[in-house]
Amino acid sequence: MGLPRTVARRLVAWCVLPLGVLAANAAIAQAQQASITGRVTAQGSGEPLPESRVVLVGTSLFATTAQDGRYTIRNVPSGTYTVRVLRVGYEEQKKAAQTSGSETLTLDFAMSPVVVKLTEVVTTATGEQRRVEQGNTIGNIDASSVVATTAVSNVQDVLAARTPGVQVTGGSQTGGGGRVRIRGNNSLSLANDPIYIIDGIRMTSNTGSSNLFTGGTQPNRANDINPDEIENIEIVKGPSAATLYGTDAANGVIVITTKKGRAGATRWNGWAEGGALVDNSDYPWNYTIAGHTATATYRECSMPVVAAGGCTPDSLRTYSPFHDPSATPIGTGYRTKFGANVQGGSETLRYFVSGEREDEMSVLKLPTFERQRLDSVGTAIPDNVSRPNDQYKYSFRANLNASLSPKLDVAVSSNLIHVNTRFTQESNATAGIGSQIFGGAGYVNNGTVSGVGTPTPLHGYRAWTPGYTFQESNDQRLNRIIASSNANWRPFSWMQNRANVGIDYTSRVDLNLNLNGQGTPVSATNRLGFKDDTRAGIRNFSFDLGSTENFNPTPTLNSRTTFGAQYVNYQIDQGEALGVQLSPGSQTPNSAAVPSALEASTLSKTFGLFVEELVGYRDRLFATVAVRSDQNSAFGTKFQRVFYPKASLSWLLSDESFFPKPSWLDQFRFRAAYGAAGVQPGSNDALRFFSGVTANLRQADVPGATFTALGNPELKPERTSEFEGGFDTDLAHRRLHLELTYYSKLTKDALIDAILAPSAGAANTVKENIGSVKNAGAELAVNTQLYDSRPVSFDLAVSGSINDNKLVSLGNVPAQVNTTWRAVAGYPLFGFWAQPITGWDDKNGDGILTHSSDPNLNEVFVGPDPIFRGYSSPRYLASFVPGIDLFNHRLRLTSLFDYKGGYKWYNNTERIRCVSRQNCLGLMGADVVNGKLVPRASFEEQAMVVATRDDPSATLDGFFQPASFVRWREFTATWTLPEAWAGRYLRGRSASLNFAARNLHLWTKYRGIDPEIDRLAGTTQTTGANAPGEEFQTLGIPSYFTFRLNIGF
Amino acid sequence: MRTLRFHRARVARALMLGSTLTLLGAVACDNGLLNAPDPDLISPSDLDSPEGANALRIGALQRWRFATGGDNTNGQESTWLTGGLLADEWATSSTFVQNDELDERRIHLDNGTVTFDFRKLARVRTAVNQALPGMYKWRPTETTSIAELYLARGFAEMQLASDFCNGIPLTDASAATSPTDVKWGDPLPVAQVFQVAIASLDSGLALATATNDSTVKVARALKITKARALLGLGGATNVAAAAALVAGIPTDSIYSHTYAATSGSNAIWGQATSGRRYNVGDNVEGNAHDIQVANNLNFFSSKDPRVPSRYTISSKGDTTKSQDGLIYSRTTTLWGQETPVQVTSGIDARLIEAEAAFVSGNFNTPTTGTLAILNALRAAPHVLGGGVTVAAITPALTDPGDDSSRVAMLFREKAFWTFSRGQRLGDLRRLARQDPYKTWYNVGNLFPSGQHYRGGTYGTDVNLPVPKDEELNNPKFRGCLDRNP
Repeated sequence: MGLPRTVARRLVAWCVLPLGVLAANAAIAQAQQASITGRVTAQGSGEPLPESRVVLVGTSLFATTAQDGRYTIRNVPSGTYTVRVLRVGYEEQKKAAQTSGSETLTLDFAMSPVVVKLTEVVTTATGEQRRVEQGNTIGNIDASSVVATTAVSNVQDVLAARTPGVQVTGGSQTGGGGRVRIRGNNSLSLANDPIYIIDGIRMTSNTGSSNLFTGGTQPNRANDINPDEIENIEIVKGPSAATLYGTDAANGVIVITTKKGRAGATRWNGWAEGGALVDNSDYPWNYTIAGHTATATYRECSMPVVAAGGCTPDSLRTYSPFHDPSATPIGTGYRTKFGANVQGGSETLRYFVSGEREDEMSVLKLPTFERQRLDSVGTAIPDNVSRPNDQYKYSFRANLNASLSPKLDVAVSSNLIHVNTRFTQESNATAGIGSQIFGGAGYVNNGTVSGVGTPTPLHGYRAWTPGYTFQESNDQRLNRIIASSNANWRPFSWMQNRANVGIDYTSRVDLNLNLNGQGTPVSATNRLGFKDDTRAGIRNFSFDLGSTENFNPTPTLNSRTTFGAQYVNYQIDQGEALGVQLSPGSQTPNSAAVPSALEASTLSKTFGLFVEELVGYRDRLFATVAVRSDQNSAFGTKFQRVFYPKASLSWLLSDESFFPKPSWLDQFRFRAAYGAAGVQPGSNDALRFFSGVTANLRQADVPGATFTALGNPELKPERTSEFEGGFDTDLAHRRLHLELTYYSKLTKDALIDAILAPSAGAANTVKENIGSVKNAGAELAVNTQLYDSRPVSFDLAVSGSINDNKLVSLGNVPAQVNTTWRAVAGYPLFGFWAQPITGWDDKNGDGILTHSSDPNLNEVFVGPDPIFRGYSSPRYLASFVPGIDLFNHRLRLTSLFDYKGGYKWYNNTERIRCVSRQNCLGLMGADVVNGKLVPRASFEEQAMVVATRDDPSATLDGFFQPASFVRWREFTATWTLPEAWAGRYLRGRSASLNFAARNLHLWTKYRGIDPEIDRLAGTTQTTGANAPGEEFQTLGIPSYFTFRLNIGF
Repeated sequence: MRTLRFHRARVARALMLGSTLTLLGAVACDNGLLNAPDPDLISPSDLDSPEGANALRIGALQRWRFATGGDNTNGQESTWLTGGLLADEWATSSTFVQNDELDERRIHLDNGTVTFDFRKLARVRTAVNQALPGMYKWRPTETTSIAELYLARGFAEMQLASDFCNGIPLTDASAATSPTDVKWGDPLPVAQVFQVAIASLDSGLALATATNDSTVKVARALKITKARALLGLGGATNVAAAAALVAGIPTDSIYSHTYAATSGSNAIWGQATSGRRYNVGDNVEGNAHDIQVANNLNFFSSKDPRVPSRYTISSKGDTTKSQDGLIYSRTTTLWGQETPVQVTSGIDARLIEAEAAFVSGNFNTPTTGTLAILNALRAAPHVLGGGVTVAAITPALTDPGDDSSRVAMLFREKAFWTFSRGQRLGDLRRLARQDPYKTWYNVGNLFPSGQHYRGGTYGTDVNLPVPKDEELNNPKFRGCLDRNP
């Protein structure tokens, strides 16, 4: 699937024509011009500072320093200028310069280091800009540093808990994706995920990107990207900042910039990482009360049945394969990674080339008793049965930056990725490992696996043992190429033109194979074998053209005007070949007795135009206004175009003479912004259409058509507008940097999946633009260097955020009622609702709570109506990141403590154990003493069981459990070896040794396994991505312990 | 010099701005840039042709098939399983709470299975109403095919009235192009829905007049379905008319919905036999056979050949458990993966005649009396389920002596002959509400009751509620008129 020829032709036309016009115009401006050159060094040490950005203020001219700290800005027209130097870790510096004729002016800079290091330049939709000019806060993650020192497996690990207002939850299997939410949920029915931009082009970041049935865990395409290739990640949090990214950007934008080559000698870097995964989750025991009745010598009782006289208890039986070393499927996982990059070049051509291989094997393994069973009959154990969940990745990247002339820079980035992931069925899968291990009896000798020829012992598992579950393989093989080119042309000192064109193409193969005679007998045909082979091509083509003009009407007034166009063309083409009933050894759908084929496509196209005007006054007051207009293929036929406005103000108040400036205050900046952005409807939401079906009529398969969607010709995008205001300040000689931000955003025309009353006999729902959703909150970020000396220093970063979410209106649509959550105006989106358990009273004093329709005997009380029971996602986020440097900064120790609070989590694992499996503590947890039950379960645990099993309300209230937690997310120890040692022992230029641990400890009162387990984290919109998170027969989140060696040559 | 530079700059800027805006404007006006044709979709205009009309007809019959025997491949559970779960034909053996609610007769208004069933039956009506205009326009001479569409619609309406509460809305969304176009239905009493069904079936009967085999088959199905609707409308009042309608229909006449693994498998087999999510109902529950279920027929333990069912015992002696991993699985061999379900059967006609005979006081009348008809059925082999030939059943029935017992015998025989064909729930409701049966029977001695094997006791539901989604989203509907049988 290549680029459509029509699009390619247009692309050429669009790119070449403006450039041609400009080339003609350029002749006008030919004149003798000067150069500014010099060297940027660190004050005191005189050490050269590469990667410093030297900017001629009020023009498009700039340069970046090479490894020796030198820079040259050419083609400077005669005039008076201010030259500004920006570099991370150093205080911004400005100098005046006057040029005339063709002279070369030399300006050197000695930069003062700052204690708290912040990035001074941010990437925006109109190009790179100084942070201080932005009316918004933009999160910034120094990804290269994070990856080199912490135990992160993917991009979402890099994002987690490092920026206020950003929440990441993940699955528990290796290769699983997570949910990323920025400043809350905006949409009831559309995606709430941010979009991703990588090196200027749109990146595919689908959730639930597979056709595999796992019961939960699904991959997210954002995690294909190798974090080792990323220089930094910027998080554009809301519409006030994301306006110019247009339709789709309302949930935020994650801007990834990959590493680039630096001018200078060739430098090699290599790294090797190895480590282990362990699962320290506190898994529940399974309980069974063994008893008898007058007519049966053995009966499995429960506390309520015993209390009602329906059973006489004999003993409590307690067991779980989790706690039996011979039966547990939890082992030790492994992780390895090794790679290298090389970079260097000259001022005119710089290169960065990188390659890496990464392997991760999860903690899941074939239990010992199953291995012995298979060994005893001489059955070979294939990899997918022995270790059913693993992933390996290759990633190759080549980035070239060329300065073809002083006026024209060109960059080409290419990334080739191969990912091979094996999942196993878990969570909401009848045959999955979770269903079997959480659902087993409270004893080990609970019968045999039936329906499999020769029955084998269940060993405490529910119906099938892991050897059968793991035989069905779920593999994803993925090849992906991301290629982009960027041209930056500055025909005049006042003009900069840029063009980004690129494609992100993914070839995905999903293979679900169950060989004949293998797998679970979950149905009568399952062990006859099947092969489901799905091949998808995901294409994300985008271009972005822009032109920025600087205009300085007076020496104190700078104007920058940018206008541009963006186009995104996204398409998934998927073909599926399914074959059911295979012959022994057969692995192809076409060899099956019942082959079938399916095709599915998704297309979406957006074209946007924007213009932005930024005015700077005396380099301390910056005002921006902008507007973007979008057209989209998913809009209804009666809606053509949407406009998104934007305005922002940034004011360096501390530079004003009237502003008090005590000695402890270094800088104070006020900022405010307003903007709007959108989210497009689903690609076919606006259409009324039918679908082709195959019907069997009178024993013959014939083609037909059935009504699929009612459609809505008025459909338009959701529109979220946001106000953001706050301040940044540097205090105590720049030892402390503080940012405080308030935001309030309102989503209007929110697309609601309005339920069509069933009697309509049509689709379940139809999209309507009728709702509104509000998110408001505050964010705080503090970075401080508490103590700094040569032998020891101590720094601390603290961030926190609070979000209030409310569904303001559902339009004319009634409240939407789901099993666990409701959409009710005036309450948070996706909040938990239930008839509340209002209390309990052990009236007969037997220690066992029971339900009775007689109010005088009833012992568990439930409120009459469902009420709001709590947020289903955290309202409060905080992180606490202390760091200590020892031994002249050679050893650095850091930790990250992650807090999430103000919400509940659905302990669906315990619910099914109590309601269906009948092995939970609240139902079965009672010792038998002298023929009577003495409950281990608290009244609270009993009440939640009685309320859902026996009370007519069947309320789930007890399983919506407070989930606030603090997790010791990361610990790292990085030892930078003396260069002499690196040279002597490793023959390298530099070296560091790193130990990193992730998910070390959890403090919580949550009753389930882990309040971060989210079986729906990686799912698509249609399969529950917006539904509240829940644990449901889901395995725990593992801890990572890794060692990493970094060597520079 | 400075003036010149600014002049040049302004010229260049104007040129740049003008040319770029012209280009971008041209691009913006190019609709092809945003054209996104999706091959997955069929536009309504594509169906305005003879071939399109036929495709819609087939689609409507597909919708009907989803509602009867279901379609396991396409995730369409049979409505007959749902009704059988609330009645006594099936018992829950899955981990699904919504199935537990049905079996325990404590159905929540937001029960997903019931919501889906109601929508499925409504979809049959919508699909038929979408197909009929095309058939009349493009294929008006294909009267049997048109009659069959009326059969589908009438059957769905009859099934709705048989299973759901008083207050069933019949909405028309067949031509709607937006939510505001939908013509919402008022809640209708069950009797009125039976009348709507009869009207649909009469439309079909008026067209199915030819004498070729396919037309005769459709006509017989129309008659039997109409007869069932007449019984639902008023047993004693209409039973004679119903019997007259089906007189002469051969006992071995069957109208089936068929299945193939390639296009969709039998969902009764898929859910009950293959997935082990439904157990054949019985009057004794629990793995230890120690929980009595009052009023439940002993479909499983009677070993009646009309409901051939069994446990599966492994070579090591273990009994196969159900999908819930707790209850021993009780499966029937009546249906296989690709075997058809009987939508109507000549046996239905004989049972209607038997009922008419009882109502008219002819229980023991030779040849045409209830007992004679029932014994004639037992004396001959018949094809049941998906093609299982049941040999003659012995011994012959004898008169139990009193009308209450005669009714019990008649409906027990009917329950076994029509197992899981969507009739049992409607019959139990009729027994509780219609003369003369309500003289002897009421909800308390008809529906399963007592201790439920999952814990707790059976509730009081005797029909399926029109779901909450209807109440919240149909402006004319505010809930069932009542939940009476």
